[in-house]
Amino acid sequence: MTFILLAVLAAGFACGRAGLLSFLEPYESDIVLYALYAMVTAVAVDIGAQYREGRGERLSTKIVLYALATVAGSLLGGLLLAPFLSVSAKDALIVCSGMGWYSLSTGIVYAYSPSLSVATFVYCVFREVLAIFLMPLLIRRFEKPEVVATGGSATINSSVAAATVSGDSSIVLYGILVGTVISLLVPILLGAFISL
Amino acid sequence: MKIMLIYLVIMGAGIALGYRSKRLKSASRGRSLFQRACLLVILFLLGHQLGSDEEVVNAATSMGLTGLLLSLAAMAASFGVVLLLRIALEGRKPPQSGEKEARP
Repeated sequence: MTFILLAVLAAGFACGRAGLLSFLEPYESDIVLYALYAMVTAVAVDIGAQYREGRGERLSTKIVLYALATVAGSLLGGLLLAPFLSVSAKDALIVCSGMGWYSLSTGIVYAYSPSLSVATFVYCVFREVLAIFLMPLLIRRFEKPEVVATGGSATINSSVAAATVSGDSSIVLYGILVGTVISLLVPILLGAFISL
Repeated sequence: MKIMLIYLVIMGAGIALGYRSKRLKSASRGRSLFQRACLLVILFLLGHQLGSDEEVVNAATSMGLTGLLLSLAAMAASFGVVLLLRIALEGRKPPQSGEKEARP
């Protein structure tokens, strides 16, 4: 799926470079925003239905703490690296606030800075793809909380990969729950750092 | 801040709707296809916006490298912070005999 998404993005990029579909330009930002709203609504309905059916994972204080620590670690990593990069600390925090949710964060950051949205997209995609390869290796030596932390909000695909290798399918539900808590924080963090 | 509030309201309303309405099943194929369609539209339009913006194209190499390095730093730091927190909350766990070592 990741490769299909990258191919669609590349196709859009190529159309933009070639000047094709230029009539869409005045409406693009609005279409992206409303598509994001629709997507978030569908995800939220699914979460609500899971709880009604008794299949929703129960939140524990520890899971919330691990999710918050994942967010804090991601922001700390960005802050520590910012002095060595060509971006300000604020921009590094904005990029790191994406946490791997590229469809939402790239769209929001684009309105703030088009060039920074490129960094945000690469950050999110690379975090998801690398987590898919890293988590199955890390789960052999470490425990679920720190392993799931590498994926940020994009832990679902990588959790499945880790569960396939480890044989412990509970990491998938754990990853979804931690990822959901982190995902709830993404728009809050992006809004807060952009308005700084 | 306005965007943040809109997303929180949408998320809350969606969860409430899914919880209350018995007609809405979880893991619906139609909803899953709808989400994928939305995602593909978003990515195509974002790609189109990026491709038609000269500022973005000129910054693509440096910003791409920035994003890549930030993702490595964020992954390493979040792994380290959660590892320390887990040790503080649960203590060091001995390696589980058999199960983890037996994995390929």
